[in-house]
Amino acid sequence: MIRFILRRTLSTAVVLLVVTLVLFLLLDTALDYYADLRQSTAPNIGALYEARARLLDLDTPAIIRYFQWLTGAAGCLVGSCDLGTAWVSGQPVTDQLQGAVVNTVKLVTGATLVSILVGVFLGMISALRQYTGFDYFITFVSFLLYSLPVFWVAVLLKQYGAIEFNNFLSDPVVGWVPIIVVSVAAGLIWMGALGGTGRRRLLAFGGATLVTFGTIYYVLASGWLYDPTFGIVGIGVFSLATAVAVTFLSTGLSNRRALWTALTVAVIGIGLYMPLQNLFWYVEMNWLWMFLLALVAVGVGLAVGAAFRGPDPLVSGRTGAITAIVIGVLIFIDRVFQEWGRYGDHPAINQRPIATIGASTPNLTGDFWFVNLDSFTHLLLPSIALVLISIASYTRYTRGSMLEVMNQDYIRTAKAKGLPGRTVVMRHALRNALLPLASIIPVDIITMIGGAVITETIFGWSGMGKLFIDSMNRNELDPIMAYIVITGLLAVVANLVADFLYAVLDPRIRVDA
Amino acid sequence: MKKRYLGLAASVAAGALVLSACTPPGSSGDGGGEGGGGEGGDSLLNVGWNEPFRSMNTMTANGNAVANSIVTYMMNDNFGYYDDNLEVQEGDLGTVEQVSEDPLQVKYTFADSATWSDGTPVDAADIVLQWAAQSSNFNTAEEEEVSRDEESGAIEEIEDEETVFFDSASIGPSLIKDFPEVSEDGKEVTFEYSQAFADWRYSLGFGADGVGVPAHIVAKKALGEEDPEAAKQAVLDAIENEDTAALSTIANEWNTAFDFTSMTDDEDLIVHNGPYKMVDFAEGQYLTLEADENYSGPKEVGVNQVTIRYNEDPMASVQAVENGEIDIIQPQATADVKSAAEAIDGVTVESEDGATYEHVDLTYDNNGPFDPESYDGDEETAKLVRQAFLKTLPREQIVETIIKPLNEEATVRDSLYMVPGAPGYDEVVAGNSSDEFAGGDIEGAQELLEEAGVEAPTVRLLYGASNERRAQQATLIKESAEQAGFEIVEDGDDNWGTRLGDGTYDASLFGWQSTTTGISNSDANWRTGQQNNYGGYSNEELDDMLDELMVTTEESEQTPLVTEIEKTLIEDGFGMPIFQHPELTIYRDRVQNVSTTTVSPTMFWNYWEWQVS
Repeated sequence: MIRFILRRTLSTAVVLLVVTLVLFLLLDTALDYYADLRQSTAPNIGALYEARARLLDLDTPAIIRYFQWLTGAAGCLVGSCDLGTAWVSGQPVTDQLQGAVVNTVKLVTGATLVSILVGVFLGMISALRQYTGFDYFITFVSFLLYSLPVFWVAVLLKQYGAIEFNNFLSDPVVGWVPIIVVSVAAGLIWMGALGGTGRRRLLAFGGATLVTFGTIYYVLASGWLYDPTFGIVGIGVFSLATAVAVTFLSTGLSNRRALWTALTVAVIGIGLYMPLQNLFWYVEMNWLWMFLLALVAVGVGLAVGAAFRGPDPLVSGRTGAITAIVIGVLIFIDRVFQEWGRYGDHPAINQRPIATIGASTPNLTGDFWFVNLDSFTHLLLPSIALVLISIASYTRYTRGSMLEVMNQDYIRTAKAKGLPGRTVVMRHALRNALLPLASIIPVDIITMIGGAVITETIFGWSGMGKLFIDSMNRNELDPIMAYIVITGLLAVVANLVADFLYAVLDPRIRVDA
Repeated sequence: MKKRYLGLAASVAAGALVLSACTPPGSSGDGGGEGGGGEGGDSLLNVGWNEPFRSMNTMTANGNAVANSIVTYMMNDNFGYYDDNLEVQEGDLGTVEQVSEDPLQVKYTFADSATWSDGTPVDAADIVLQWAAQSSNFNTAEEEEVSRDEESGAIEEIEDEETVFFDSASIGPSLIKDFPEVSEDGKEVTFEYSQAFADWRYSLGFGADGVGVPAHIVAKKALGEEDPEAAKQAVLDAIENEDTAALSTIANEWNTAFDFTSMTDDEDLIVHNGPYKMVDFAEGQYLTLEADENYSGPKEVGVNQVTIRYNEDPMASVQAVENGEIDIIQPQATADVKSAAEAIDGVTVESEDGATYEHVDLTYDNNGPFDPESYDGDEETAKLVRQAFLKTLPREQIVETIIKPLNEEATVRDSLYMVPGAPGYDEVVAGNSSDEFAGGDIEGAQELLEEAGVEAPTVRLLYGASNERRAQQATLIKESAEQAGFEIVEDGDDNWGTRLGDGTYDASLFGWQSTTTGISNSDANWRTGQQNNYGGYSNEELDDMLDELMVTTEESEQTPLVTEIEKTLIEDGFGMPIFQHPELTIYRDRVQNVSTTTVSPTMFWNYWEWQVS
């Protein structure tokens, strides 16, 4: 194992050295350090050229400059990083990177999580309903999304998700036809996803259509959009529903202990709703608090599971903990959206909450909740753009490997033994089907941190991708080199992690080889 | 059974909690922290810009960028600025007058109201430092000797105390050799130029540069002198006595201390003498200026808080305008952007001339069709070929088909020096024989070629390939020139910039960008051996006229001279201007009094007149 890691580290170092050397030389040739001067009619243009050459030390051969750069970069290993300076702004690259990395992580974390969760889920359902209308529909949609150019999606999202939606918010009236069309479409999708006999399908269709219709009608008719919070009633309903759903997926409803655990957690959550509102009011919150509260929630879930005991307390505990986290997130969202009214009234927002550019509204200050709401209205569109594009690959991968697993002998055996369908799918099939994803997801996450160049540019986020493309346009060598080192390093690390993850998940594979 | 009781107990406990919980004060929906109401309730304005601010010192080689100028222009007053007709207007910092013509003496008188935001008066030390820094006269370091940070190339703190290097160079200040005459109270400064200089008006204290960075802050940082008056005196003394030890540290601070890319903690860096103060600057995102209640000058601004938001994607900016996030933008002008902006309700789109003009230049020194060497040194033949080529340029057609859709009032630019509509433009155009090269004159070109006795000369035309507008122009030029008998090789290359001047092409198509209307501007484009003279053009007679122009201070005498220079250039077949790049100003109707001017700081020139409703 240690030899393996050593060998990988060594080869990584060599790869990085070669990559940086080659790219340094290539970039030095490709970048035009005088680009901005070429069209200038300034009377002292000759002096400006000389000043630039001096600034960038262009009289020194590139190869020597590479080693000078390398000396500074190597300092990172011993804690004195010097990645050079972005010469246009005179800013040290290390400072530039900090802001960029933070922004990118903020942008991609949510989007990555959502696309993995939704992608895997859709892929699984799609595989289970192979060759049905639902399967074809998902296949069609995922290929469609996969092939969409992101700049175009971004422009459309801004037009309809922000501009038109904000217009709509000022006068939220929708005709009957669109409501009915949406309801029926939702009914059809649910019917396809749930599958089953004709009667069951009919029920699913009718139920889903009615629920969707009711929800839309309620949202529009009650003026919920002006104050989009759940309130204690909404939290109650959602909590109980969550408890049932989580139990169903986690252990199956037949495990009564787990069900009771989840329901108890839900009731505790409802009970804590009002006290939490008080806590949120009297104590200034921050992310550390949120993290601690999440820990408490997990603790409560596990404790309730332990209290119900039975032969398998961990299963109940797990169910309780997941339920507690989901309810916690619901309460968090509810609290954030309590700021909605004041947010819209703020003169800088002017009743147009969904933003098209930037990571936050300039000069908007407020408490934790207010600032987070502002963050969310800015995150919404770029996240949707990222999710739409990346969801397709997860769906396809999961579907493919799920289908393969479902045809394995052990699945047939499990079915033949009379295991419930849920157990076969969730425990025996899905886990094995996720194996190939374990090697894809780390790499994907890293690529996303490397920056969503186009998304960041169009939505005006100054993250890694933007840093890269801006430095390119400004002909700044040092930030580009830093970017290359970081993404290169992360890519190697991601592959290493994927290898290990694979070995952990599948005992047949050993990393020593 | 036990678990049921547990559940029941939990429910009861939860119920008790619910009931016992008093309603939090915030849940009624109107509370919840400070929630951002507060500041800027009155008038907010969001301006979009493509490139973030990076330095308060707009005079260093690196800080000299429009992105910086727009901010410093709003934060500082000046002795003069351009209005939207490119006429020079008096600034609010004081008055400038020419007290003597020979030798040229210029007197700057500071207004009593001119004070820096920390209470120190703006006076002699500031403008003297501006002069000393830009003049290069105090630089002792030979350029090669300046030590640079090895990795980044930034100037290192120069260790050697004897080395002075101000990272700036400007012609006007460099012509002032002697220390100026400073009045007792420091409110009047008289500079004497060592020779006559036409552009003295733009040399110091002009436009977005104002009087530069505060001298007392520079001295505080460089010399540790805390008292502002003593600090100013220290700067004056250092410059007057050419005290290299002091000047060395002063130069170091002046060069880099005022660079920052996010809100600085150092209040000294944002000391200013104009109506706006900087209150927030989020790196790469936005920069906020707020009206300074302590401003003592005469300007009264109409908008309380101006936020400059950064985004370089033109379409994203237009959509941000539509969504109400941004009020004014000046995006890169394309037909798509224009039509998208025009489709929005409540938004005004104005097209005007921008600062860049498109032109075709010919190469003289590459053994190509325009080089006399190709005809065994026969100057006349080469000149006829050049003239023939310039005659074929379909300038009218280019403007008609490519520029008119963006700017209906666009006209062909007929002057090498002047923007259409600028003072004196008509006079120059009338006399510079541009009418002989109005464009698309196939017959005239054929006659000239015949006279030269040259058959189907091959012309390699260099332009930026991915620039669609240039590609279209190249096509039109090719069509027209080939009718007259030229052979055109289209040489579209994205690296056109690096190839300028390397002799691998015969004609080039690109833009020149003007930064001032000063007539010393453009000098380097046509003078023998200068940096911008990529075609290798050389004409001693013209060089003499350029020298003469440089020292012609009387505006009425400048125009005939400019006309003569242009006539020489055009008849020599140096090249032809084609059109002024269009510039779009797009603003929401809630903003009033928006207008723009051709040179920096473009639409910000009259920021104090902006009003929002």
